[in-house]
Amino acid sequence: MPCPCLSWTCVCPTVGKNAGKFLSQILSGGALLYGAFENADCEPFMPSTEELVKAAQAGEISAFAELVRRYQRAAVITAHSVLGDFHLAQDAAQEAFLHAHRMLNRLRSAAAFGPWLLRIVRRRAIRLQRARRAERTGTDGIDCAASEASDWMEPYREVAREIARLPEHERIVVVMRYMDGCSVKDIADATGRPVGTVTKQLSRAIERLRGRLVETPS
Amino acid sequence: MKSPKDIEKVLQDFGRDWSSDGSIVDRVMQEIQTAPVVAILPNRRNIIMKSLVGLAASAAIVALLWWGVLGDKNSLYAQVMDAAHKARTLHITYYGQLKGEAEPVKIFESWYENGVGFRRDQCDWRDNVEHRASRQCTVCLGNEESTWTPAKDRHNTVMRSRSRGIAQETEQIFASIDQAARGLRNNVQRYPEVDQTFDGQPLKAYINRSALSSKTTKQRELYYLDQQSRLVRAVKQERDGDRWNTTHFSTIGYDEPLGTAFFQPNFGKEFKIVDADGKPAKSEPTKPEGPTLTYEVDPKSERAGTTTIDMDKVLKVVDLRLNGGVEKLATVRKLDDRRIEVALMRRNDADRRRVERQLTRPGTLEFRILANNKIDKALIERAQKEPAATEMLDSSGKRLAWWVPVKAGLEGGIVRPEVAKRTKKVGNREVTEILVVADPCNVTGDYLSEAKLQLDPFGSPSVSFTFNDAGGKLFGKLTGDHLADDSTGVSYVLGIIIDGEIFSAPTIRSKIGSTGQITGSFNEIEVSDIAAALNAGNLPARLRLVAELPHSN
Repeated sequence: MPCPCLSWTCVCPTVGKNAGKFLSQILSGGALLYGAFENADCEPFMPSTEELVKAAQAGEISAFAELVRRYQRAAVITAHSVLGDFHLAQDAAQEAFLHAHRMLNRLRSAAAFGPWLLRIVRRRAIRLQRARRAERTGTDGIDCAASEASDWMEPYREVAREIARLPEHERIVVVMRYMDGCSVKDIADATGRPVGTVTKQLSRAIERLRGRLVETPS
Repeated sequence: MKSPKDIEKVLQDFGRDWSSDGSIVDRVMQEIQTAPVVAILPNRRNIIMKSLVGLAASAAIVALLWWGVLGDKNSLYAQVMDAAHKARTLHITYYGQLKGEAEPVKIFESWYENGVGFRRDQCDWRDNVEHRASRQCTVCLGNEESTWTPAKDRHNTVMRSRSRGIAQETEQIFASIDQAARGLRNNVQRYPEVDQTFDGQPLKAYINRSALSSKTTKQRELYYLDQQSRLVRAVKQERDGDRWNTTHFSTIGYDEPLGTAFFQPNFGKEFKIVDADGKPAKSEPTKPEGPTLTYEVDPKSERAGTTTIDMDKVLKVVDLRLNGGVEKLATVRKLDDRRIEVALMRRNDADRRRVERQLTRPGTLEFRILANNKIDKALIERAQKEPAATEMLDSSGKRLAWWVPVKAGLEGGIVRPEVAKRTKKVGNREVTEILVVADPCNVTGDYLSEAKLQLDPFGSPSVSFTFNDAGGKLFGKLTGDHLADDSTGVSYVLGIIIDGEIFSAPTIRSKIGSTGQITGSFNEIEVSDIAAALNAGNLPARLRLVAELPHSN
């Protein structure tokens, strides 16, 4: 899986010189529109979550795809902590993204997308888990639903659970930094927070994980 | 004690082990993009294509950005929405402010006629006044028959698809009106000082009370309602010294004469209109021109004790089976509580045969494991000793394995050394049958949430399907339990059985979850018909042809 930070190519700093499609602010304080970039003379650029959300709110599908790419692992880990199964967690995450897409216009603060999404994921996962329990008691006898054994995430169950216990904003930066391999600078651009804040959040999160994972031998 | 480095290492390993097929981006985006429609017309040479969802969302967000907070429902808002719902046609225009532009400019305009069609025009602007000339506009259009969408990555090409009906468009139109009227839910009051006359009609002005409460307030919202309590204008203004400058506004027109012709495509000559398969669009007849067939519920299919057959259900399933695919095959109506009439759109034998097939096929889908000569040796030997039997039972009468015919013409891709086959003479045709074994999962079409036509990676039509949660889990279990084992050299073959015939038999290489694709050498019509039948589900009763008229009307 490519790092979500690298998948967005670049944005030309000087809108106007380029014959290609563009990123532009169409309304003062309003929605952004994104396009693919054809011009080679551009600066690498990491659009912030806030910009992506605004573009997605304006209907730009590719911006939403970028958000899914950026948050999918944090979402799956969050759902996994409830459901304990990778594939179910993916289903819950998928549903949550679809729900988020439908509800995107209700999101007041675009920058708060990450934590908002992870809350939706958690609710979806809980709902799925309930439905699953009800289903199991209804179809007992056939042990077809139990598929935990084949879950590749099994060795990481502990760490996934602890990541899911981190506060949402820390969860996002930890996943982006270590699992997606993004640089601190990219994360700062993405989250719209200063580099120092991101660094601090990361070290705090690592400290938290260290404290919690210490009791359980890996 | 673990060091922070250790923790980082664990996290990095975790990320690395997360393989690329763990990505849900495609799944999510595919779901999103199967939502509505669109087409596009450019201004100048550029084309930017936006999905209808996008346009609606942008309408919603743009309005949301300046109308802001939700408030309690009050009667003014309720009246306004009620009036909009009663309107036969609606025409909404939204103007917003661009950076560096003194006056608000038109951002989008949309029209809607209840039961007839919709159209949206939206213009995108660069943030720079100098680039006014490069304004890019998109048009999306739909009526009850078709919708027109931009073909991806192909300039000057518009894709036509079957309309899903404009009903779902209704919701989006009312959502944009709701966004415009939303401020009325808050504290508003009459403000006669700015009453206006618009198109000869006196309008009553309302203002958000918070703007009046303070002398220094920087923004205000004005709402103009006509005599019938319809919202015709919503304005947002900003203070500039003693003056108020309009920064954004919407206008809503009601019951304007639009008519069917308004919602017909009128793309310029330079535009190529194509169908979903990328081929030039065929002109579709708008009314039935082929034979009219009358079908009756087959009395033999009525179970004793069941007195009534739900004809509405029959009608719905028939309609979905005939018209749920890439093109409209026929119009369907109920004649009485036993008969339905099917009027074919086109007069040709191929369509006639398709109708017959769609109405007689069971519309079932099953996934089974084919008997494997390494694992199920005893069963296969037993089956071969009983050439007349169609199934093997255990001592308690439970089915252990049974023979399933292979779809004629597809034997080459399905029969292979590790499966058990036999041939049977049916009439003068030789039918190949393959032994399948019982499994506890019973993955069937009952768990489908959707089946549709999709091109496989090689560009051939295939049936792509999505299971619901329960089905996804069962399918995951079925495939997960039968993964190829390299150490023993055993690999299992999955039998995909449609309407009681094996259509495809892939070797199971990985666990499959809730979605998959059935590939084979199908043509597009075949795939589309299969998908339509799977989506439509079972017919509540068998139908038999009782009358046929060569022409419609």
